[in-house]
Amino acid sequence: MASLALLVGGAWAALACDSFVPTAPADPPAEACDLSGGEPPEARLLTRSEYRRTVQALLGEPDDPTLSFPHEPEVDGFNNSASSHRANPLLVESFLRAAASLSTRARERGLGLLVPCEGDDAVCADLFIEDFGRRAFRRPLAGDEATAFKTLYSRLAPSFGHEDALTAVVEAALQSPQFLYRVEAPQLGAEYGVMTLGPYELASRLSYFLWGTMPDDVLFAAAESGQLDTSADIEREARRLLGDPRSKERVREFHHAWLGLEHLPSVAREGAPAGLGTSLQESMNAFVDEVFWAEGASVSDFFTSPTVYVDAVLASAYSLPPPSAGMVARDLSPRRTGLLTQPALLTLLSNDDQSSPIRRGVFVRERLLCAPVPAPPPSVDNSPPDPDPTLTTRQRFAVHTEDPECANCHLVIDPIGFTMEGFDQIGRMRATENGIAVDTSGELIESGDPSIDGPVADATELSARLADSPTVARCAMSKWFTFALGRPRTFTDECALSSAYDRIQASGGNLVEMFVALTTSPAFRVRAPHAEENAP
Amino acid sequence: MKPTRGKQSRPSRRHFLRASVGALALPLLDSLRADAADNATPPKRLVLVYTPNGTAPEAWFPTPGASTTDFALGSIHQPLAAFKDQLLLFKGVHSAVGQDANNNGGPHQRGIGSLFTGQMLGMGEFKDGCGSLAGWADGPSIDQEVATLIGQDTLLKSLELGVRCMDNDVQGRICYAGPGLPLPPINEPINTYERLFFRTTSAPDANLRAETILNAVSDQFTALRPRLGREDREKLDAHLGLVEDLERRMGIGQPSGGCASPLPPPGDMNADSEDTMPSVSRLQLDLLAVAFACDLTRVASVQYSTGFNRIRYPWVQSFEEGHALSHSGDSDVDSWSRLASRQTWHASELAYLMQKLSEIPEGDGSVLDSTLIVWGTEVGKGNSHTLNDIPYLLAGSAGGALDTGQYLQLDNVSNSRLLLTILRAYGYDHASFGHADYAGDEIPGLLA
Repeated sequence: MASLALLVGGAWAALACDSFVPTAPADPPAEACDLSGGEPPEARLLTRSEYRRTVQALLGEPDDPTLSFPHEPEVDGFNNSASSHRANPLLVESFLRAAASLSTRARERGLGLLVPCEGDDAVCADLFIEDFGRRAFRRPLAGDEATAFKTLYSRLAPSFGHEDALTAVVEAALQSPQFLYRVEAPQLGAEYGVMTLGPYELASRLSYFLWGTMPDDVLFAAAESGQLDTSADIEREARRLLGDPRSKERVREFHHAWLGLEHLPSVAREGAPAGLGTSLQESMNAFVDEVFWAEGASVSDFFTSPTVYVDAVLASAYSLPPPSAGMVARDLSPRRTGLLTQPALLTLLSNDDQSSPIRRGVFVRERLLCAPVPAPPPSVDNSPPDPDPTLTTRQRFAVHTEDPECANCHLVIDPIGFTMEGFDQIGRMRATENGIAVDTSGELIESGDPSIDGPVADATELSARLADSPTVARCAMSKWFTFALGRPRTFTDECALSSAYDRIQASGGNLVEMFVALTTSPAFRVRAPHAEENAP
Repeated sequence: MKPTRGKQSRPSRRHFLRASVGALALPLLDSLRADAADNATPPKRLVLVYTPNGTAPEAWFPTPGASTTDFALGSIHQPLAAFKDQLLLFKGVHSAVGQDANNNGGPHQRGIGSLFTGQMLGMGEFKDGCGSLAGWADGPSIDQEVATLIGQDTLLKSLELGVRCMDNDVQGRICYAGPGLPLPPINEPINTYERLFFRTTSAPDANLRAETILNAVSDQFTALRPRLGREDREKLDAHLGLVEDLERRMGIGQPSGGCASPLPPPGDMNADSEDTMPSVSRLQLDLLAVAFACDLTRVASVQYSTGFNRIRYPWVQSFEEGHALSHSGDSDVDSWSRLASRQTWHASELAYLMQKLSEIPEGDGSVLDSTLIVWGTEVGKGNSHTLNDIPYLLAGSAGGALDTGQYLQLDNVSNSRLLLTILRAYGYDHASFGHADYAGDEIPGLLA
């Protein structure tokens, strides 16, 4: 197919980001980008949580069938890497075992619940294959796909019976690549170097991004009736999905990946009471729920909310009045302000016996500012200094900034972490360490946002700076991008995302607008061609 | 290839004593025999064992004597003293490929990636604790090459077991089916049990039904294929290959008698906890022994945690984060002794496995006689991250293929030569193994 570069020649480079290229007749995006050099999408294998929710929606399965599945590879906390999450023998066996047990359980509940049908077995079998197949494959079956299921049915029905043969169709569907992978097949007739996603592909992108599961009937109907073609259509569906309780679990899942919360229950910290990690994880879940779903919430609210959720374990660990039951919100202003002062995050970003200014500083740079830190020289001894009863943690880490080889990188890391020195390895507030007053002064250096660089008094001031930074909002969106597309954002995505960035900035970092902006941007709606599609 | 194992009459002579013993040991192994066909040579077997963050070299390397057979074990290996004649130890094996300046990643990543593959790491996004970036190793590990040679006629080609391997990146994988194709370990004993003993049903027509279903699955792969781009086609072809291998192996004779339904391990253990780690280790080793005894697989690995991990070993009074401990200064005698005590515990687990295998009769001897266990860790020493003197220990002779009971002082030999030597014990006939720049011939004096 012809690429845009061929059509417009040398002028293309200059026009790339602000020229107008129609990709869909009904509603061309406001701008188009040359995606021909971008990352082609890969067939994406369902992750465990996606599989669990998908069979819940598809079969009404109440239990989690993925507990014995191997874990996906993890890249920067995200376990949905399209290129790394691949089939392996254990996973394929797990799919086989799950398919056998899920199909049996679906039969026990009644296959009529999946596709009601009264009448002739053969007619009902065809209807079942068409209807169940469409939901399992998340699009209407192609002729040869329907034939494969009909052949299976007709081979088994005579000796095993109608019900069992249909159960076998379910078992086969659950092991088919059209179910296990989200495939975005080339669309014939696409032009200008971009491939427009088909309506069913877009429906799956939306539902897996915002719900982590297959499209519901409304999305399927929209895809079928051409109601997913325009930005307005996508915006309507994105808002509808975000308004549904199913997005709540998905948003939690994102934060677990982004912030690394999965690992909380197994952390071992000196001075931690039994069960601290598990309680901290629940406390963070409640914090994320509250901040994210508040009316008009924005990215900056994550850095300013004074709320910490505590249960009996946490109340005792942090010397707060115990709640009468469960997990309750406590307003801990002015000393606790947002994410960076949440006990869960402070505990996670510590060593077992001391706070870790390095981990805390690296976290802020990599996860919040998207400003990576260069790796240390290979020869470096990167063990934390032994706790010295005569010094503070900060004094012991001073070696980093005294040694010129280390100072190079640690100057941009440690002074961020030092601002959180008012909190120990389980996130308890402290004014002194080993009898010496802690010094929480620090500095943001080369943060990527010149407007926030400079000296910082403490975690509260750091939080206020991050809350106001457009760089932090952009970084958050690029994490959501990875969560949506299963790959890191690269420079080739910048153009496609530029409209979304503008929109987020205009909305003041509003979280719902962030999703709408992302889903309606070209980055979400079109894709780069595969190598062979790009050939002239 | 036609499965041949169905012809073997092994299951009838095997049964388990279904006795109830302590909750955290499997009552599976008593009165179990592992004989294959009458008078047949027992199959060879291989186990890889990985432990994290390097060793305490002073306590690992033996004191040499007048000859290679005359040596005194280091303190770490004292739990293996009873098996000294069956050990092979080396000094002077290095990860040459790991030291290549063009390799990707940090030392723990390079070390674990090359430990059993002799390969470099590809480009990728996996970060080590210091921010170095790497992808997966660029080739297969020796266990998978051996499994290709000896693992075609068993229910499982290989069995990857983990004990608290919770990092799912390059520092959390030791086994590779091929370039960029890591094999994840199972961390929960109950899941190991499920993998070994899961059967869809025992109904007489079950195989016909299962085959018909997998044929339909295969048809769906075929239907989708023309609609895919090249990269996706390769990805899904690999998946289909695994489905077809699974289908073929389902046709292999199913275990019967005690091997068909041994008692399961506890299902409610939290496998990501320092409280359960010793119990999980024992259960996984028990299940491994059962898998060998029942000939469900001939190739296995046991991976203890992951490179650069921060776990503690409170049961040997080591309460420090593992990686930090391994960074202790050379003069910090206390810390090195705690690191050595972790390794001594690993040696005792290895001794436990050897003891179990030695108690399963086979032919005139035991399953241990046909087994080789290879133990390694990803760096020579944690505080320097050296990839010299990688601690490898071989235990068992793979059916007499190796000349055990020796301690060899080698002169800076590439680990891919050691890996090739191990492969030779299983009939591997390629000229070399691992990255071409660092491959060489076998190490003399090891093969019997």
